[in-house]
Amino acid sequence: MLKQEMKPKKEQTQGTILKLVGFFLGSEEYAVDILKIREIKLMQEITNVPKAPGFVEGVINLRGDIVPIIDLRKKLNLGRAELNEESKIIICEIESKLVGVIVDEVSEVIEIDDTKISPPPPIIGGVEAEYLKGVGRLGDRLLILLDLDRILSVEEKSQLV
Amino acid sequence: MDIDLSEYIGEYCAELFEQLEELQSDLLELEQNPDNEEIINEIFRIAHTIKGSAATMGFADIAKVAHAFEDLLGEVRDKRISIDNEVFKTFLDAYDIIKSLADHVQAGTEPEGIDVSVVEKALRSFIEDQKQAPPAAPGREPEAVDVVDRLTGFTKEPPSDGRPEETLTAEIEKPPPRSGRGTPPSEKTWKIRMSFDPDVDMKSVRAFLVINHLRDIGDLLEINPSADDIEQDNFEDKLELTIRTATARPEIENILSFGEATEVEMTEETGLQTASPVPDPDPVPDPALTSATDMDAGASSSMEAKKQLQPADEEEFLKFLLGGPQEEEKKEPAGTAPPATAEVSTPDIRLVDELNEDHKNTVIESINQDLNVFEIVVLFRNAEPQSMLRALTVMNYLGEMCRIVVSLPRKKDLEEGVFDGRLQLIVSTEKEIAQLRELLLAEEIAKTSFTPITLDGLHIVPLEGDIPPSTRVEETASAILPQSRTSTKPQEDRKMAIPTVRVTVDRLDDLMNLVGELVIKKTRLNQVFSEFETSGDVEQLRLGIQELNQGLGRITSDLQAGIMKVRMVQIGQVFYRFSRLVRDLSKNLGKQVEFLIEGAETELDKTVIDEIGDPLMHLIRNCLDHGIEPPEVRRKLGKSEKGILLLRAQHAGNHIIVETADDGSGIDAERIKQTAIAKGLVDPLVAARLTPQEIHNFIFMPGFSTSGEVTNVSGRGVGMDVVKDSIEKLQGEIQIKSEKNVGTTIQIKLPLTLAIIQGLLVRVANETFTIPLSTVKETVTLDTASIHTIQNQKVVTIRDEVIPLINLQEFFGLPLRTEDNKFFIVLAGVDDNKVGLVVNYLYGRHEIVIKSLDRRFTSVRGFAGGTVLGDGTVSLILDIPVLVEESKRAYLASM
Repeated sequence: MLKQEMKPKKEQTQGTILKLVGFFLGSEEYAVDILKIREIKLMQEITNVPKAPGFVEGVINLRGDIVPIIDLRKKLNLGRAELNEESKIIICEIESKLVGVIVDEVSEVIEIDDTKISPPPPIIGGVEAEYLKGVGRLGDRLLILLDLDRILSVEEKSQLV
Repeated sequence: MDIDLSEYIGEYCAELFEQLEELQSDLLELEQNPDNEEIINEIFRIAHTIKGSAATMGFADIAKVAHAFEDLLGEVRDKRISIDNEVFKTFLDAYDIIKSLADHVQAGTEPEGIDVSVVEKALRSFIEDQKQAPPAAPGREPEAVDVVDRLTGFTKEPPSDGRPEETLTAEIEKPPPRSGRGTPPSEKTWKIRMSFDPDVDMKSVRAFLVINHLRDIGDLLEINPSADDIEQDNFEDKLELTIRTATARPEIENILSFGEATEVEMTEETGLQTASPVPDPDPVPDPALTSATDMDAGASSSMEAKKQLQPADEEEFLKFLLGGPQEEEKKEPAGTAPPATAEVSTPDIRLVDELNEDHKNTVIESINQDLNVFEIVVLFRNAEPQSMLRALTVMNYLGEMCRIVVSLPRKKDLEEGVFDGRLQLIVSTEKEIAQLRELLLAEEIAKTSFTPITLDGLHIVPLEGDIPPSTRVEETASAILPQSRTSTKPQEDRKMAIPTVRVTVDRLDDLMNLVGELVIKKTRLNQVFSEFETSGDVEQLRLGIQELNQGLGRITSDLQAGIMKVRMVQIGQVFYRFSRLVRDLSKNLGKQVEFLIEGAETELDKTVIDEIGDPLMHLIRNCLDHGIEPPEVRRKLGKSEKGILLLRAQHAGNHIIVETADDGSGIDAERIKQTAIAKGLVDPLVAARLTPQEIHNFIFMPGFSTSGEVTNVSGRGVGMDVVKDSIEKLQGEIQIKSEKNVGTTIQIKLPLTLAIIQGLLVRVANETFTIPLSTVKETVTLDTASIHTIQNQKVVTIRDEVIPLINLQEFFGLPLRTEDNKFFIVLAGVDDNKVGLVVNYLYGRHEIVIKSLDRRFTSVRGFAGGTVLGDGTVSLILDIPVLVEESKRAYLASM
């Protein structure tokens, strides 16, 4: 759906405004659709789940629900997150279930014109194109738009079945 | 008046499914005792209720089948048709159709591919056959009346009961859509009083339905309480109506029966002049006398249509009624025909002919999108400033429900006060005329007219004169089927019914009291704290907290018990579901089975109830297929030809025991042993030492089947392992007791509730795990136990029993903590299978609330779920059956 929106429209300079939440993984700035995000939490104690896939950091209690926490860096093969006080857990809703992802630092809510988003190159910042929705330009900033649904669902389904 | 029926769907479904369950068990009972009149009456009552409420909710398909069902049953009851297998099968088929339609209603899906006409025809065919002998027409009509009478408990009173007219002086309804000045000779005035059962669901909807249908056949002179009040649910249980109509009494009674009232009283008013209709400032010729050209003619013609129907077929008439809103669509245009004749004051302009290109395009677009497009003419009582305001209100109302394409006068002009009492609009909408019309009735409007606009060159569809009324009605009736699937409003945005639990008010009150106490304790806590802040007395604080802690402990455990009670559901609803399965299967297999149910009232947590159905079904199929022998075999064995299948539930402490028992062939332990050996599941030497119980347990191995043949029921070797799995998922245990040629009893032990259980908290390395206490047999310290190693597999011997050990730290690959030098063994297991779990520390028992883990990321073998500890962190719950299996596998491998 988004792909259609992202197609550069030559006649129109004014496209749809997308609202994104930006965050850092290492030195790169990434962004995801704000509608996917339920809340952003400070780092907290995570209960380890033995024998779970490596990128699964564990589970936390979110107001009575047990929510799995994913280390996004590990998942994207960007090394392991170094947890510090800037580390945050972004709680997202994927396929109507909550999943938390650990990111290094949440930057801000970004509004971007969808004409400023170009389709993803095959690989960027070490992240494969299938996980990307595109690359957005905001002044001199380069935003890598992640496809959280793809990252957090498709592969896991095949893995666990 | 627009009552959104979709909000009642949940309630309707709950009711419907209850009725269906009852219907099914009654039907099965009827099969046993085809002559039992009580059962027949009971079934009749249920079918009637299903029909009525389905019609109310606009589910025409269900209503149709239920109606045919009811009719056939009526013939049975009156002993004109006797129940043979063919009839009975048709009843069951009809039940199945209604059931699957009901499933669709609940799921909020469209019933694709369900053709009700087949079964309806089948039901009707019996009646037809029976009617072949005597001519159909006479006798039919009285019969219908008869049925209605008995159903609704009409008390036919003498025409005048002497009650003076002024008893019905209540407010007069908004002017009916049409009214006449005199009462033509054929019209009669009826006074109707209906009493509803105060406890029945959807009273106001029922009353509303009756009013709506009555409006179609005559002039409602009085409605008490007013239709507005009913709409707003200001409705107790009494409804009083006065209607003037030419329709015959049976028809009226039939309509009234939709209300499902407990008591209906219908008296003819003889003093005609007393009930004068609401004065109409815009008088019209008498509907019954005018020909079908003016605004009112449609109504009268539809009335005539009904009159024509009277002698013909009650069937058609009912369909006509059942059509509800979608049917109105067809009829209304007639009722409010083009304002072209002298009857309406200023009919001259048709907006539709004056449309500019833009508007025309909008209209075409809307029609293409399957929206209804109407030209509406609203005539107000006068052209005073207030009516200008009303006109604006009307426009606003309409604007909420439809898109106003164009209006005359324009809204802007209206706001500036340009208004001559006539408002003309073209709107496009998803709504039906009836809904819009009801909306407009809410204002002081003299007349409204609706004209559907079709694509056909944007011409007004021909309405009057072209089609004789009777044909149109037939069309309407036949159009119900397809229309009900596509165009009725309640089905369009049909909502999914949310699963519900019925709770008695007592139980809720108990909970409310507890919550009240909780609030008091909270206040007390504030008090204790502020006292401490002023006095600084630690001892006083300690005492205060101690007292509060005790109080809170009691309240929370009561609250927990209370909530659990609310979640409790009788297991009967699962049990009775099987009676049909047993009946069909045993017929299919050529076996005779008596199906007995005990302890149906035993209550179990809703989650358990929802999960227990499938495993039980497997067990019952097994019993029927493998357990109970064919009659001839049973005779040879000296058993009665009829086998017994017993389904029983009973309490046992904190558990519920659900049993299936049969007096069939039993399980051949020897054969199982041989199969197990042949499949290499067990060493022949080991097998010789196994107890019968252990041998029976082989049945639960995946793919294990001794059945030589695969029937279409069971025998594929899938089933028992699935049963065991699902029972264990419910924290339950399953046991087989069987004796050859005597029978088999399968016992399922289930916890009363799943959500909250007792757990033993243990520490392994740095992790805190929870073990369900129901699985824990005992705990020992490692140094007192004697540990042996059998080929790399550690075992512990306790009281001469060798139990395999799992070191959880190794098993889960956790980092070893060197400071841990003390170990405990938790002996846990299900049935007789035990495993020793090596842990570092025992924290003790806690009450825990089970939460499920996300299947996508954290579905790890060995964990059954998670729970939140007092400090807010998560502890994983160990899946003991899985761990037992793991240890066994390792143990057997090492042997």
